[in-house]
Amino acid sequence: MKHMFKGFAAAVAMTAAGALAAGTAIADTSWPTKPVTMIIGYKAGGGTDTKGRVLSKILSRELGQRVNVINRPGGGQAVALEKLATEEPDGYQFLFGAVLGVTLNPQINSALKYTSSDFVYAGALTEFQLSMVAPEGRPYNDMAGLVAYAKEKGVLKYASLSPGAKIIMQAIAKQDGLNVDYIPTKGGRGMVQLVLSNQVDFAFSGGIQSRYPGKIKTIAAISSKRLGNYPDTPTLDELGYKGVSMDAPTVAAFPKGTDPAIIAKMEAALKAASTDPEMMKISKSIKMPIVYIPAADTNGLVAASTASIAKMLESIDYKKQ
Amino acid sequence: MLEELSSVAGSAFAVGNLAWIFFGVTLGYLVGALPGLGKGTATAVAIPLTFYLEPLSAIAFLVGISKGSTAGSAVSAILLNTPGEPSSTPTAMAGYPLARAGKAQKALKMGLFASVLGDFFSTIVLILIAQELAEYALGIGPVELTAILAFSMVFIAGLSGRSMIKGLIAGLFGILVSCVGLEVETGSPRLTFGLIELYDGLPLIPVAIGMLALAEMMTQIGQRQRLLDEADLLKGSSKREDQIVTLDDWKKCFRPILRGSLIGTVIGILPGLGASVGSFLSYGAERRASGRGADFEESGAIEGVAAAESADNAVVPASFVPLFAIGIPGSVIAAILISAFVIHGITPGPLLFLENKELILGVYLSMIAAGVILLFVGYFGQNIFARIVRVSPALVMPVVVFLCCVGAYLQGGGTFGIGVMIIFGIIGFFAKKYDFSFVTFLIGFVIGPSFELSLRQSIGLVTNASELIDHPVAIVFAVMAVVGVWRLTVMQRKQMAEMAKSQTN
Repeated sequence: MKHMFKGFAAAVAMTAAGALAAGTAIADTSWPTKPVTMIIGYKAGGGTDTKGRVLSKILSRELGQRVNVINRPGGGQAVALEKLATEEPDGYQFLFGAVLGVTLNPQINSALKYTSSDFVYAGALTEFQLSMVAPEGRPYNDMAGLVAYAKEKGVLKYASLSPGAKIIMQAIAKQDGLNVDYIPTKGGRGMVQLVLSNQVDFAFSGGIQSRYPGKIKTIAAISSKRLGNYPDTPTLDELGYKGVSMDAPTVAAFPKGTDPAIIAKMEAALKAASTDPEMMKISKSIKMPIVYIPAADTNGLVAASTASIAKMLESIDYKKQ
Repeated sequence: MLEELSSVAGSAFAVGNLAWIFFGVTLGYLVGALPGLGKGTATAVAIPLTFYLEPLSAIAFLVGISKGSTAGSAVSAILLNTPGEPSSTPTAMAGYPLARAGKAQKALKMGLFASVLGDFFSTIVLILIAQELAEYALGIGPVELTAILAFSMVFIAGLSGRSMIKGLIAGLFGILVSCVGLEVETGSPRLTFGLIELYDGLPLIPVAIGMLALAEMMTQIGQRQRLLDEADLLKGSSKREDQIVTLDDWKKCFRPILRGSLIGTVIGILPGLGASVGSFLSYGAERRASGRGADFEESGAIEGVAAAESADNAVVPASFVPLFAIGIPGSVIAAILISAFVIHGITPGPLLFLENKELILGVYLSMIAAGVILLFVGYFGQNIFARIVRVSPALVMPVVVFLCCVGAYLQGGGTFGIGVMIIFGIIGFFAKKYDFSFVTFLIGFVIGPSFELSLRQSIGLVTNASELIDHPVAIVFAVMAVVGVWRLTVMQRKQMAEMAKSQTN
């Protein structure tokens, strides 16, 4: 899978680089000549919203035009993305948020009309630390231990706030013949509460466990590569669960057909934001590492991730809701 | 603790910091007093304003806004019957009739005093026992919450007005409406009719504004002649005892304020319940204790205003207990404040007291200062706002409807929110005409999703009945809920028997 991803990324990188070169060769774009709207697919006050608001400030400075934040919550970014997909690709509206909104959601929800290829991506800035976690006091510290414990106990309880985690879990359970009970939660805090109070055996996390050192331990990384916060924790893929992975960088998505010169300009602004002291301060306090990914690689990653999730869904016979 | 407090008092009570608190409280009070705009909006919108402030000033400013707007939303609730947020709904129910009887000033003042007292009580609890309490709050898991919510629902069923059947119909309708959206366990859409906007459920604020404010405006338009006749009354009685809070009022309100402060504090500490549950519970308790029944909403009740407002405001500081101590917010406002903390480089959670102790103590002192400032801002602000009722209804109504639309637009995802508001305005209009209870509808709507989620979680967590022994708190509340149903049924039977008797006579 890794090879496939690399090959794909390289191919996309070449095409995109070609397009970029063409774009810059024709003319430098005058965009933006008026304020740009950054859409956040969640309510005001959440983690993505916080980062987005700080980013908007930096982007305003870099682009020389105001970047206004608009919250369009609903259906895990679905409301925002569905609308954005039909907007004019003039570069004045883009979404900032976790890439799972395009790579995962349209594949598990039949009502969504957009797909990940309805957008182009100007780059990624941070990455959710998707991982499996457990209460500190549990006897297992890694996947092998967890599996052994599950076999001994018969059935394990796990908490998660997203349908994505259920898919990962079903793939693991299928491979190892495990019996697991799903406890739904609302938001990261609901999950943390169940873990801290020791009511579940393990849980899926977007990285919030870093706020609770000594209380929650990280067992495995769900991402395709090791996570910035947990370089010593192996990925599921490394552990022999081939193709079982999900990546959640936060990306800037524009409607398909947006001028490559605009994408290039936004890419440069994102790159500048990745070394901005204020962004670094935020990243440190929410403990979500800055992972800057250039536009070409982000587009490659989105395509590869979409394909890998499709394969995983197929392997567990997932029925679209 | 005291020594440490006095060492940070210098920075907390510095003129600059106090000025930001004052600005925050005033801004919050103004926004809160606008119909349909509440503390959530006020705080979220203000966060970017704090980018350039020192952490203590920034958080003090936001705390000021949250306190100001919580108290301020009583103003539009009492004067216009349009609560700024769901948690001031009971204030509107008990307070608006008072305003119509010319006692707006009295109701506003009592609401403010109750707000400040509830807030103060809860702040003290926060300061004294935040760390110790938070550990216990963590033990309140889904199983306990399910039992507590079941108990609350039984309790609130007693609020249903004159006809219990109609109350139950309204409550169940509320629960039905709350089922709209993605189902929690499988993520499959329920009652969404293919609309993605409905995936997160019907937005609370547009539903509440529609049911209460818009329905009220529709009713009033239908009664213009009566309104004109009443206009003199609405101007406010000239009698001094209708304008001030008398000793007699204090006697009436002392117990509800104390009880409301306690209820609000407890609800705030428990993660997962909102301010609405607090104010409705406190209001319900007072309504039952008074024994006045539906008359509470018909002729208004100063003690109802006091009960609801004290609980509503007590929730805010108490919800910081789990936020400061374990990093889990106890309310929407606390959740929004997390992002403010983060922007200023502070991570809420167990390390907070170790890493940023001075800041936390500074925030505590700022909260006390905000309480005192709120008393003054509210007292003088009310005189200005109270003038609203002296304006002719023909001028007030369009403005209120416009503000309702703004609130629904901001909180309900754009024009979709306005659509929801209009639909629920029409439902509310007929509910009013045919005397179906708003209270039970809104409670069903607010508690429904939390109840469903915690019940579904409990079913997964407790796999056989013997495991329930590990949840003694849940057992106590479950038993209380069953006893509650039994008592209510007995009472209802008695009432029916009495009615039958009086009819035969």
